[in-house]
Amino acid sequence: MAYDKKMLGMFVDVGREMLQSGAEIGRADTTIKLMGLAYGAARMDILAITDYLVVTMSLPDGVEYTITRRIEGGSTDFSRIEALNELSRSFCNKPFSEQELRERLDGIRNNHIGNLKKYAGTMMVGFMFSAFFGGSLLDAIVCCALAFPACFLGGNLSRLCSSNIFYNFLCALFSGIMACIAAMIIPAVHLDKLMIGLIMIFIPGRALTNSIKDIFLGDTLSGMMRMTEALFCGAAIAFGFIIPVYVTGI
Amino acid sequence: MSYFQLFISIFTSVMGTVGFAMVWNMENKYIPHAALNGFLTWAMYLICEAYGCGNFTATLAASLVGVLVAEFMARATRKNAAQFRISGLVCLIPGSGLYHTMDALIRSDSAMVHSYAMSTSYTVFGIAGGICLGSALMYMFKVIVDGNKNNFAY
Repeated sequence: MAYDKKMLGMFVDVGREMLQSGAEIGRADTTIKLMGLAYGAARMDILAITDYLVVTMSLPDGVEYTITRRIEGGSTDFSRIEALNELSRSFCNKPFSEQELRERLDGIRNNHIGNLKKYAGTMMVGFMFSAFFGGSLLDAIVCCALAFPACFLGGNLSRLCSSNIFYNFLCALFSGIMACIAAMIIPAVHLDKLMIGLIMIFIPGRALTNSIKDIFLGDTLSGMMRMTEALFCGAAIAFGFIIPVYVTGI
Repeated sequence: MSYFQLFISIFTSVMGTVGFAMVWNMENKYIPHAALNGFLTWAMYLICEAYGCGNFTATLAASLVGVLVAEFMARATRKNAAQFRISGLVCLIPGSGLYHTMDALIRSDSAMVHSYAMSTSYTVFGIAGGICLGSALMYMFKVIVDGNKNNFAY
């Protein structure tokens, strides 16, 4: 059987896409490994951390190929992770050509989350969690209304920010300013309930839970990196929300 | 807690879970699964609280339920467990504690900073403990039932 080095690049791209969509390290690791073994590799050695992937594929004829990929950006997308899972499963059942794998991967990459679903979900989170943490109906409605510009800002600020922590801080700061303005215009609104509802939109819940799972499954370095980032993001979010309160004295 | 407050608490936690499932682009047909997990997780928390458990214990038990339910849902649907787990646990995340800790910090109220920070930490450690315990139990279950340590994958 003739082996193609490009296939390894495709396997790593599938893993990278998974990590960028919010999958755990172990999942990306296992996916690359199983795809490589299904292709005919004798051995797959993978080092995956949150920002970096290194994969060595050892072929039965003794040739070894190593590929690295830097992982940047991305956002949580469960549908994309599922599509990538399906792709890897179908490849493992019956391996197909590099061309077909590339086309199917490109198809998954080009399938973006709909804005309507994202905005509706964000507004629902704002409404529900404002009420969940003790807010009145008015608090929940105002929080729901503020969630829309917060989501819009979140979607557009990411490319302007150098780091995830700064991005979260800016999102929180702008949302905090909007909440303070709303509280000044509508005095019956409880500012803390508004802010808590908005905090829940940005809070890095996925990163935190994934990091714990990563650590538990033995990916300690990745888990610690992800947890540290999540904790700093959490602090940045809280700090960003509090600054407008401190400045306005509400 | 009155019945009305109880209803609001459960309803908002479930619908908040649905909201997050939408934000994270979960497939529509699995959103009810996420909602059910959110309901069971929060119901467990409320039950523990009603029996006088502390914040840490209640969060730990609720998180354990959320993880186990997510894993079984993943097995039943042959889908990724992470999506059910993360959506289910989101109602336990201490957004309120985070805000109040920072608020007290800005106001230089060290007693309240300590109180809120400890409470928030207990919640975070409770979630972490529940995930670890749930994952350990599921790992054992999978090894016993599937007989294959590497078959960890949906």
